[in-house]
Amino acid sequence: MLQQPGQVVLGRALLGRNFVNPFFDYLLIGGGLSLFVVGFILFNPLGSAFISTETLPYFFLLSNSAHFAASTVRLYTKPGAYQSLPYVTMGLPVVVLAVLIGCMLQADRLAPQLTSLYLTWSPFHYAAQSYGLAVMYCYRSGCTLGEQNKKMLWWVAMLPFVYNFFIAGNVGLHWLDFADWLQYPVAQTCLRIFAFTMPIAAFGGIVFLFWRIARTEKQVMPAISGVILFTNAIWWFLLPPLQAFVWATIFHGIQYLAIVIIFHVRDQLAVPENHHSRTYHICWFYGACILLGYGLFHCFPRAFIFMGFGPVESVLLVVAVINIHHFIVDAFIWRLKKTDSNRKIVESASPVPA
Amino acid sequence: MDAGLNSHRSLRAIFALTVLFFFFAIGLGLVQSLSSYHRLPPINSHYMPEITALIENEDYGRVIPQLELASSIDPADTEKNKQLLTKVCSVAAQSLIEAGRFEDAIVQYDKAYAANPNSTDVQNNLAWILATCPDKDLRDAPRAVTLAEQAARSTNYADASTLDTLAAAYAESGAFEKAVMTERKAIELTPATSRSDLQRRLDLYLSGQPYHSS
Repeated sequence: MLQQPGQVVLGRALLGRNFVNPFFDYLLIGGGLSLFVVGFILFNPLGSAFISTETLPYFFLLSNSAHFAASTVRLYTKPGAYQSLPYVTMGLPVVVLAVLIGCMLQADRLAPQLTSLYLTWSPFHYAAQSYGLAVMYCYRSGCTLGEQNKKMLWWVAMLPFVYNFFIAGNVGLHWLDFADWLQYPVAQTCLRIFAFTMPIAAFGGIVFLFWRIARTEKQVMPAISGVILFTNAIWWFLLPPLQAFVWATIFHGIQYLAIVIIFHVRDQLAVPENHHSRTYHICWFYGACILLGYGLFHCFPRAFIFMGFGPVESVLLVVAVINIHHFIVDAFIWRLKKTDSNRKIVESASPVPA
Repeated sequence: MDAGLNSHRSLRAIFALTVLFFFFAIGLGLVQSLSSYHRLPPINSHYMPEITALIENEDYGRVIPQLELASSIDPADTEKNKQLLTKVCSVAAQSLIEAGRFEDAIVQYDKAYAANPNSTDVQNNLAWILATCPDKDLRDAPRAVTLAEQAARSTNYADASTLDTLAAAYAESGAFEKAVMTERKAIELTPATSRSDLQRRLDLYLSGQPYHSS
């Protein structure tokens, strides 16, 4: 049976305009891959030969470490970044190194605070990335969002962070609870009610967004925007807090690497004197990210151990500081100013071939 | 304009120095890494090889603050760190007892107890030293009885070692009847070839004297 033209238009609008192709975008950037893995973990938690404490470090290196390094590689290879962001490119590393050494010297007092800060900030960062990607796909797919709907999208994206802020131990509210008032029965009851209602609000909020945008904007929000919000919510609501941190970081890393490589390749191909192929730029960028990730997470802490600092602060403080550096850099390199190359890539009609 | 250029020039110079330090550190770390690691360790146990090395070298002065820090800043591994802290403090305490440093040994057992208050071994060892310490100022009979009773209860009063400790604690607190009864039970549970020490202590309790280590 032939499809009605209206159904075809609706189908296309729902699919959205992808960067590479629907399979790549939905699986890697949308986080579809993580849904399969989360299912696998829930039914087979960290017990198989495939996902174990032996293999996990390699997932970390190829996804997590590479992704943290990716923001740095992107910052220093982005055309015009030194001129447009002098303090981020040249000032921030100096400040970060000073903070790292300062915390090393005062590890007993500062290390727990810095670690809690980065663990509190992480879910916010992932939520903000989900929001940014969801808006980017809306914008790219021609679904213009009004201020109210943008705000609504922001809050729906933020709910997993808010949940984590209130519920997870050692971070967020539990970190700031100096007076131990969260131990009172009333506070415990409130937290239990909160923990029960938040997932309903988060998943229901996504459905509500589709409905609200269709009603108020007379447009269809691309499904990938919803999938991005959904996968971020799945990571934080379905997995226990520790596994959520591990897997959200890995899948956020995959998502991030996919999108940042697209932007990098686009930028490099647009350079007039470019003589290299698309494959070359992909391999160069990902290779640089893995190398820098290995250097940052594996070699850098060992240098501090060699210099006489304790192994605990050397590893965990380096990890915390790299995370915080990544969060700050990310706040600048994804801006969509009219003159920025990011804007041209998002607006470009043609998909980026794989 | 000139001021802006100059500030950027200074920034560039500081940045260049930072980059230099960074790559030097990475190189240093790489050399260290290649000389000692053959594979990537799990991320949460990244620092464990160094801590294990400190334990093997009996560098307890450095191990314990490291483990305390790890317990406070690594939410992912707190339980594992506590187990390790308990083990390290207990080993450190044993070494300190052998060196005659009883006060320091009690401090280590206290740390082990704080990290893992349900450990029968820690309860038993701490109770023993509090009941039998040669230094009378360090003995604490009421606490020894409490800890030894916890340890004996958790073994269902069927372990000779914890009953021996409980008897010593009772004797130190002046409850010799209970001490005699408990020591007899401990002797029953001990193979005939290993009863001599326990029998000696029973004789002391029968004569109304507590047992103190030498």
